[in-house]
Amino acid sequence: MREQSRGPAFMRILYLEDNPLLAFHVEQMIEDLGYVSAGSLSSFAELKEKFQSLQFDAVLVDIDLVDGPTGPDAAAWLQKRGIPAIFVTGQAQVAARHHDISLGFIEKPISPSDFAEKVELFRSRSTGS
Amino acid sequence: MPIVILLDRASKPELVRAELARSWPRARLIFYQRPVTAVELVSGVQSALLVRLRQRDVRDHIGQEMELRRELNHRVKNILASVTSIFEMTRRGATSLDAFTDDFRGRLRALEKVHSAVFHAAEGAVSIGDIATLTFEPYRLVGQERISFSGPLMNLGRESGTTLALCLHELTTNAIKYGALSQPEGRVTLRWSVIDGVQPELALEWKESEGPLVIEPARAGYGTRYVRSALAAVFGRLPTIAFEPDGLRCSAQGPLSRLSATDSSQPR
Repeated sequence: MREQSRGPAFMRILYLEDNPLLAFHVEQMIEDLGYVSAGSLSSFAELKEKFQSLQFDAVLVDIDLVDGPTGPDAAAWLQKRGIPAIFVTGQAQVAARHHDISLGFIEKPISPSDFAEKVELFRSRSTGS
Repeated sequence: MPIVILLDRASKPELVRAELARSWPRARLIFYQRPVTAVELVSGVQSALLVRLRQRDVRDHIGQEMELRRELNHRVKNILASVTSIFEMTRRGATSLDAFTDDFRGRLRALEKVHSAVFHAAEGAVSIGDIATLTFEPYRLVGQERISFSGPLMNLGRESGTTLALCLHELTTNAIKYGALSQPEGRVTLRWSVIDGVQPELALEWKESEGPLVIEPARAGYGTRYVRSALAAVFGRLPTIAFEPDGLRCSAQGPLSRLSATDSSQPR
């Protein structure tokens, strides 16, 4: 019951994206929905390096990052640490292949309604509803 | 697949031919019936090898083309995503259609100019000086010599260069609208330097002076928020954006290796 009473503001979302314009836009969309943006990182390497100092509950992940197509590796790595991922990508087929390590994917260019609907998956998962 | 077939003196060529053509319909068959001279056989084998080599060339070529097409598709999607983001974020802050049009056009032009610069630059690396020149160029009439910049020759990777250009564009338009460049005597200096060390770092500072008295806005606009987010992405650390009374100061510092790295998604 305690979980149910949590507002969306408790959900801190990190974004792995190598295009700063998109990162900027998505951080804003995250906050518009009432969640907290935990910032953006541009590579899997940076995620591993900064993981200990970051606080976040869920992650949005691009497939291609600065260190190559490492998005799925990052999602799998975070899954082992109990953090759910959703892909944000122009490569829908690649993302669809990785349904075992993600809750789904948001296609680029991002539609606000699709974004809101998919990000909601994080919350329904965390509250178990 | 080219195949050279050596037939025995007693075998019936038509039968063998028909049978093999059925089994390997797409093969290129070369028949020799004994007795066959060494020269004949060598020339047959060589011609078969040549065919095979050409096939491999074509296959490699198609493979490269597919790779390029994939890469192009990826880039185009990325650019469309960038433009969509610029559109959405500009729309959000716009107070009128005219204001939206001016801001959106300015941002697209900045993106287009830096794209051309990066495309023409060797290996997709572009210098900070070039980025500053092309970003400030449309404002020379407004800014005259009021925007000055200096620093060592320093090449940035394509992504870092593009982002820095968009940040300088935002800082410049903000300075014209609200900052130092909104007054005739106001000035802007952009300086960058390399800090030596085990891991050398690049430090960059934008400083406005002799403009109107600076008052920190109650709510950060697109420009400030974008510059903060984008410089953090490029430098790997949050920049300092200080609304100092004598003029806005924006400074960022981060590892050189991160800034000069060329995009890893480039075809290798």
